[in-house]
Amino acid sequence: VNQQPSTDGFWVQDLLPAQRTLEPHRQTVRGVPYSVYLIRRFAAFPLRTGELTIGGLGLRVQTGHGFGFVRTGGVLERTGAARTVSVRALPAPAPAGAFVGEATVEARLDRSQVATGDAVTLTLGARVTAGNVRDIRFTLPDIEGLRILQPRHNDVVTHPQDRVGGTRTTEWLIVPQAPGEYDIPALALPIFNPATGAWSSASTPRLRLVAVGNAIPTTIDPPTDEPAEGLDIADEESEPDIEFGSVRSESEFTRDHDTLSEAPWFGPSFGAAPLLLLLLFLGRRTLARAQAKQAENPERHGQREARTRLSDATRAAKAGESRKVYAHCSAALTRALDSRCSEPTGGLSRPQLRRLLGDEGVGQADINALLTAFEEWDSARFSPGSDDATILKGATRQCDALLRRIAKWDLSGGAS
Amino acid sequence: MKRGLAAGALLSLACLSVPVPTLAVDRLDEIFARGNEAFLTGDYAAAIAEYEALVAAGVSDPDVYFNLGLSHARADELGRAVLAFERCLRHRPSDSEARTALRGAQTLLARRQADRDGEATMNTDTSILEASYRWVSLELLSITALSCWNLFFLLLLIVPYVRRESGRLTVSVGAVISGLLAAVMLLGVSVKHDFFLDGSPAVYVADSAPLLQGPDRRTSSAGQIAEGDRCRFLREEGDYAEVQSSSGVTGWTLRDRVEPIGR
Repeated sequence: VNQQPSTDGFWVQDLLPAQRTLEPHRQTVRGVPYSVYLIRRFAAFPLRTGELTIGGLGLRVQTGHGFGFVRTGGVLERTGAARTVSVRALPAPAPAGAFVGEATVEARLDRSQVATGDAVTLTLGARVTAGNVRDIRFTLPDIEGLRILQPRHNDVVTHPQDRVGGTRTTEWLIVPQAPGEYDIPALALPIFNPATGAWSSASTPRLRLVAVGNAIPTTIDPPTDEPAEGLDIADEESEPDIEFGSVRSESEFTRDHDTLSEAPWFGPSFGAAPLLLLLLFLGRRTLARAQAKQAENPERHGQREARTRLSDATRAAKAGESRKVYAHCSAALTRALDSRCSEPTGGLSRPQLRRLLGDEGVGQADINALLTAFEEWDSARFSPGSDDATILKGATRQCDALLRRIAKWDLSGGAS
Repeated sequence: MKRGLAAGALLSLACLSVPVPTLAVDRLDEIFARGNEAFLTGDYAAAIAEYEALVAAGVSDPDVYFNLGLSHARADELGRAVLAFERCLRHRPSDSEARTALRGAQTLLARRQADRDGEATMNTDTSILEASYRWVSLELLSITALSCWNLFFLLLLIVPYVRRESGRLTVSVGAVISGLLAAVMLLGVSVKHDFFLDGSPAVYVADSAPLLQGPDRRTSSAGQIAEGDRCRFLREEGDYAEVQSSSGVTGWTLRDRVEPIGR
């Protein structure tokens, strides 16, 4: 690039990074393919009205192939076309210091209470979503009793998606010269939004500053040997560079309280999680053991279940619930037979059960007693006179006797 | 009867919904403002009295302690300034301004000692462990320790139920990390509670004096302790307190010359 475009009368914000790699894209113009490079892109904010010109970009391009003495081709120079922009004045009423774009403003004091002679900082922040942040200018009026030093600006310009904006922070050091309460008035910024063509205004809140202490004399006293009363320790000759900071004007007045780690539950709460884990572990282990034991000795488990059923029958007998008594007794015998024969017997008919027990080596007397009991209880469940307490008790006793008998069977030699 | 109960309940609710009286808060505010005003006019003794009144009223706020420390520093009571800044930092370890002020007070004390004795040693800090956890508050350490601890066991609990190998690996790594974090945080809590040290942290607030070998002024000297020295408060007996100075010397001094940092 041998000639940058002229931008007289504009404030310019480059929109491309300073350090970047030129990457071409292909474009065909009138049948001729070109490599197109983006050299520069900027936003230009006009600073005055009238016809303003943005000059053309000048390029010097080495063409051809090879290098050094074997290079062919020549040098091509091109200049882009200039562009003229017609800049209009802001529509009336255009107040002084008007800003063009979109912006919000805020203001704050770093301290609301200060000693006379000490400085506070008034910070005014403008957040611009569109427009030239450097165009924002606030003037702080003179306030009697306050010495206002020259402001300091800090600008951050951003351009997300080529929309130029940013923030402007302006800081004033204000030194109260006399005690009292001071009002820092609201500062207004007139804004013209070109998108809507309308005027608006953004303003800061009014701020209050309290200064205490003695008035600062306007003339400077000649230096004396005696140190001034109330001088900072930091100002003493022998200890010149110790800074302690400023007094704090706000406090939350938090009170003494137990911290979390001092709470009585804090220590034990560390035991809860491992204890829970241990309990779960033990529970799972106990359950697994019980299941293993059950798998190892199903016969004993079956006998236990039969006894449980007999207990249910005994309770039902006391309650006079005859049907439940006989049902529980039958279930108790069936469960006991299941466990001894190692197969379910509940679905077998009486002859099938007789045959199975005979094959297992059970004596005929026992088989008869069992089958008789089953038949008697089946019929008793539906007969009207069977709910007599003595009869029900007799049924549970009979069931108990049969269970004992079943438990004593020696089936090892009887199986065929 | 039911109506009576309902009316009682409503009355209780009404009482609960009445805003807490702001009188106490206003008064604290006023005392604080008076303290600030006294400070700004240079009446540091009055400012100290106002801030001390707040502390006596149960206020244990880092900003109050900071202003108190500032007032003591301006009143040239640097030992007490060190104590107040230490208390401020105990409540808000991240308060860099208070840390700078504390360092300033200690530097001034050291300079004075050097001017007087020809040399001075600043015993400002503490063990590596204390320095490591200096910027983290006890509250944050406690919450993080408890959370990581529970997370550790929760992850241990769910590891057996995760079917995919990659998932199990992730959960196991998470458990290890949370376990380590819990250990680090618990160590921090222990350090903040001075679990590994005897006594409690304190500051020697009076002029430099010898430490005695017993709780009696007639006993001989065991060593020297300087104003603003951070020491360990071990025990008290009568008017005396047994302390261990930052240089490791253990001895007795008058009780009112040593103030524990924790209240």
